[in-house]
Amino acid sequence: MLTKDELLEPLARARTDEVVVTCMGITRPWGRISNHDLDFASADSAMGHTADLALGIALAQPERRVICLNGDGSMLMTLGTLVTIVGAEARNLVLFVLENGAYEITGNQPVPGASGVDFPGLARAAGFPRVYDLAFPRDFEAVLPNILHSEGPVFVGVQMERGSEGPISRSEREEARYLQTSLAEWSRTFRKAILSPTS
Amino acid sequence: MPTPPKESVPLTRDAEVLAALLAEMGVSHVVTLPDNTSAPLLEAISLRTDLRLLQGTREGEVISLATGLWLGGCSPVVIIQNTGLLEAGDGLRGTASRMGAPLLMFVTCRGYAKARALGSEPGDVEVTRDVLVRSDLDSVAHMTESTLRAWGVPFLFLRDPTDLDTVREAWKRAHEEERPVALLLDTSFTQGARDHGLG
Repeated sequence: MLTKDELLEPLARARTDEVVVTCMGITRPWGRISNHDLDFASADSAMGHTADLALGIALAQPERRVICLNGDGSMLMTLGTLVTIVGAEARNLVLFVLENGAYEITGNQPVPGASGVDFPGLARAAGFPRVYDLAFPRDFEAVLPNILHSEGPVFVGVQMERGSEGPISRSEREEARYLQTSLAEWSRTFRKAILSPTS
Repeated sequence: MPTPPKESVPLTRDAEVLAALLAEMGVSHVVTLPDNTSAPLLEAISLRTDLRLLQGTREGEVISLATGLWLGGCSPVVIIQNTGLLEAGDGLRGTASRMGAPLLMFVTCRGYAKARALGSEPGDVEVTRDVLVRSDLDSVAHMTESTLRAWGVPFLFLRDPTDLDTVREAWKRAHEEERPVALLLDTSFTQGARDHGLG
């Protein structure tokens, strides 16, 4: 199993101009190591609607890589999105599902089918052409270049250790810059960045 | 796996006129789940090379995907049925509404004709237990307008599919007010444009 640091630090080192969309328990840890206008926190938003939001961004910007760090609980809320992603032929989308088997933000209650759901198998069955099933940090670092540069859509299931993040607010009390403003305000910061010819 | 044969959907001139207007207004994508009322319009849209048609698996996903398209710099619209609108509550609240996205949503009106055949205007009827359980009424018709009011979504009616000024007004309002606006498709695509003095 990977810790959040073992997942995020190599990803942050490898990241250049990709969009990164985060969700729930990974939102704060990513915001602590990344301060980029192309980061988008699907927080204070809609339950389970991170992967489909990221899909929309990917389809709008086909020349730019979009990385979605989704949770397993969130993915279960919109499993149909696996099929939608494949049907839309989102070749620039990388969908991570971080499998900790729990709703971390609300106290680590187990998700339905915790530890028994084969998310990479679901992705293969939905038609993802490239699927990774990872459980060790060294394996993740070895395949990360392929994950970031192969034609997608790419699915990456990662066995994760459980964390202890509490509920996420959008306020100046948050350390991560992308959580310090409202969702509406950050949406405009993000749009401006993604439409900027220099970003 | 073999592709199932596509059922024939009648293409009507009024649907073609509305599809052409969407392209003229600058719409980039139409994100949808089809129903009987919207089928001719979706057929007309699918034949255009200047509009991209995307299909989701659930209406909340459709709205979130469309919001992601807007975040990525595109100008999508949504076409769903009023039943699906009810399903999409948190998807709408937490994405397009919360982000202040100018999202025009065409919402077809299941049950309106049935209510009128019994002498009542759907939006004027109190949703009592009787309304909910009666087999000669479609309860969704009596909840559509009150639900949109409760969710803070302005709405207009499109009672003639070639009433292009109303479509332009709804599009303009969504963009000026930076919020989702619903256009209730209280009509059907069965007329040729000549019947409306067009074409």
